Amino acid sequence: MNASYNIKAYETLGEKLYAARTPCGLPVFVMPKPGLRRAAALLAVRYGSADTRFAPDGAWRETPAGTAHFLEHKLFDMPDGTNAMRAFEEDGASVNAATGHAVTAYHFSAAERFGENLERLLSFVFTPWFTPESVQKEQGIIGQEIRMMADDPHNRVFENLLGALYARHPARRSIAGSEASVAALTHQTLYDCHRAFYRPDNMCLCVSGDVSPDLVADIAGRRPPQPAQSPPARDYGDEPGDNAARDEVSETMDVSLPLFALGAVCPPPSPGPDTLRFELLADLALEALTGRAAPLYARLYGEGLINRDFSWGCCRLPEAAFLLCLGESREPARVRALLWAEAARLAREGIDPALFARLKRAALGERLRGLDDPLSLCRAQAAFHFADVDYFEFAALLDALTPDHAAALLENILTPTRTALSVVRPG
Amino acid sequence: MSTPLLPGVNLTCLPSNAKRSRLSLSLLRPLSRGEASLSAALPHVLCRGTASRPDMTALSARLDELYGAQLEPAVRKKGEVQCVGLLADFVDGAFLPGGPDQLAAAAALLGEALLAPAGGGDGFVPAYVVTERDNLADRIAAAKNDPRAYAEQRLLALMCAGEAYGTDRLGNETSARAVTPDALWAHYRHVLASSRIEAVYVGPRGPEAVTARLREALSGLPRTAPFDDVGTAVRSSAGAIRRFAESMAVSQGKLVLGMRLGVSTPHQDYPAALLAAELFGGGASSKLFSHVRERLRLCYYASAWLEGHKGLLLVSSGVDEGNRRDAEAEILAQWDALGQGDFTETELTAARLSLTDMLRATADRPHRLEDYYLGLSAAGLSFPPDELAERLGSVAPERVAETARGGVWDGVYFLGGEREATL
Repeated sequence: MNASYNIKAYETLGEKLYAARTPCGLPVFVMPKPGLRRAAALLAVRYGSADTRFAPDGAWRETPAGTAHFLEHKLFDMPDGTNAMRAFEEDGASVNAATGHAVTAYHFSAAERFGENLERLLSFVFTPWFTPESVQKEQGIIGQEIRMMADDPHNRVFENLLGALYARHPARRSIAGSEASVAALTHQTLYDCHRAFYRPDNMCLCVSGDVSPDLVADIAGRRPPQPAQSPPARDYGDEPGDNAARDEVSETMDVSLPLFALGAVCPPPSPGPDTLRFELLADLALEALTGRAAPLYARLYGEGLINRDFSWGCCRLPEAAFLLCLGESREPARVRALLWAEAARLAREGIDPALFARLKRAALGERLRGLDDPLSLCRAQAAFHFADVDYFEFAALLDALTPDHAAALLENILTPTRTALSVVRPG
Repeated sequence: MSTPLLPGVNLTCLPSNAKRSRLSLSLLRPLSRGEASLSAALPHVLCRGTASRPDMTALSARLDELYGAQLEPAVRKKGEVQCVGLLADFVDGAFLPGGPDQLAAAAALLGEALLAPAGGGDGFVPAYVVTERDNLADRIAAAKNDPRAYAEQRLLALMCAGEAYGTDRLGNETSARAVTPDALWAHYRHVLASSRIEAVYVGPRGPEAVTARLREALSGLPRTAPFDDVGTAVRSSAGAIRRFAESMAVSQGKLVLGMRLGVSTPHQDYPAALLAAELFGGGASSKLFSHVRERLRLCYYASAWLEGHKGLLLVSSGVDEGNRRDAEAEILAQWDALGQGDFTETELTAARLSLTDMLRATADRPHRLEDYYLGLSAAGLSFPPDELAERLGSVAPERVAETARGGVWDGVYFLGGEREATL
């Protein structure tokens, strides 16, 4: 079976990527980790909470907010009345699933009986079984989950930010939807969405661990071939312009210190290496702006404007992206003003080449450390496969980045009109 | 695996093929209300700067040169032992261009951070202490930002109020605000000399290489024997259940229960207690999940785990205020059923496999392995996770039930939208 794999060796990383497509059209990636005791498998679907408006058969249809997440929960139900999660656990595997804005992923990790668990993963994800009764029961459970998330100030500050950044993009709405939106769901909606999106050519299987690529190919290859179909067109709201929809949004909760999330709207990267390059560059630019070795960090920290919880990064959504800084501060607006001023200074004066070289070195080390965890690696490969690039390309792309690239990103993106600030204040 | 490095300093060396290596130094302190906040502030101040890299910018620049190595303060509570120290996380040179000796560089940086803080040798930089004191107090106050974890923390504080265990690992807001540069310096000099120190390394280098580099890095360490004793008192009895309720503006209530199981890590029934906790509230096949959540729909989540250092069993759940009494009654009833041996061979096997899988996988994760061994060290123990996994395999079902019957519920805590008139 090895013959069907395209094998790429990344010598400098000490990693290999086995890539194949099964007869049913499912892309399969295996990233071997000899000696590791627990292996991970992740079956991802390019379907997330933002995919609420789509045209499965040429005609547009709208589904309630929270459908993808609801479907993820219900997919564990099996036709014989059992729950697939339980079967994994009886075999000692830990299993879970997560719904994001763009992707839903089901995964397990196991030290033993990898093959049996992989069969089980493929079986339950491709076996929809929804009834009016089970949907009704789940509406209560998800309603509880929605209420629990409403109590989480970190979740609130982030969701409010999305609402401030975008006027129309469906990421404005919570991944889980609202109690009212999930109440409108029917078992037929779930079947329709499963049929539209849970198709092998809209999915991928990623495996990492001390696992034979042949075993993975054998098991994944047993699924019968499916006729090729073009994926449904999707509508993400055609966001007007490049500016944030609102400057600021604030909510009051029972928190000790104000929490803030600051976002700056970016043009979404094109599919292919540009997507991975964007993420690497955004991380480096933010490190140069406000990372721990940057002058601004020392000032913000020294003046008590941020603490060690301050973090930064970038987020990609379907047809959208933004830079993000998160933290706790008594003066979030002042942090925002200092970030803008420093971005303008770096754009004007350039980023210190010695600092940038160190940051690149640090970024390489950090990404290398990240390769140890098989599940994280599967997640990264799945996310970038949907953007049409292999994750291991990061080392070569990182190497080519320059201080000017980073300064240009800050100059163009971290501007007042593109920025929105979300704050959760103590009541 | 575990060897004396210097007087009162022990080194545990664990082999790993991961790209990430971990090296930690922890001072073991008896957890006490009086010094918890001082000890918690200490590593944060040490991470602000060293004699040769006196501020965060210079220190971060050095870490970036070491391919994004991390130097982080660590304050951990292992039973009634507060483990206070520094953690280094770095890519081993074997995976980097030119094969630099990253271990030597990380050990040197850890040693300097511990022994030669910025400030000239006779005190900390006062501004660093003030910022870290304020951050510590803020962090303690921020606990309520996560209502679920906050409820669990409050139950332990109230239930163990008269014991060392009732002190939080960071102390409280008042003790944090009382930290001063002088008091912290005096505390630092005292604990540096009189504490047992545990060094843990996880990575591809052999014990000789690690020993040599750490001995050099710690050559200036003052040592004043005898070293302060640490340990955890385990209680296995309780009176009537004590009930506590507090209010917070949450839309979903948090119900937390605590039991004195009396079985801690050194106990021969520790594997049976682990199995009982897993059967009770581990995963989707557990009693709490299948009965309290799925069958009766009394809560959104309900899980249980063993706090092995103190021999406590804890249950955490999210419930509607109206279901609070029913949920509590059902949780207690499910535990009683477990004590009566009301579980199947399949359920026991699932619990065993889940724990075994988790223990065996500890070897894959340097940070988990480091934390596992540090926890054992705090109790004066050392055995590999595989050995514990093997012991789980030979526990008879009757032993699990018997261990469950030995537990006594002690505290029930509810965090809800409105304070109840009667507790």
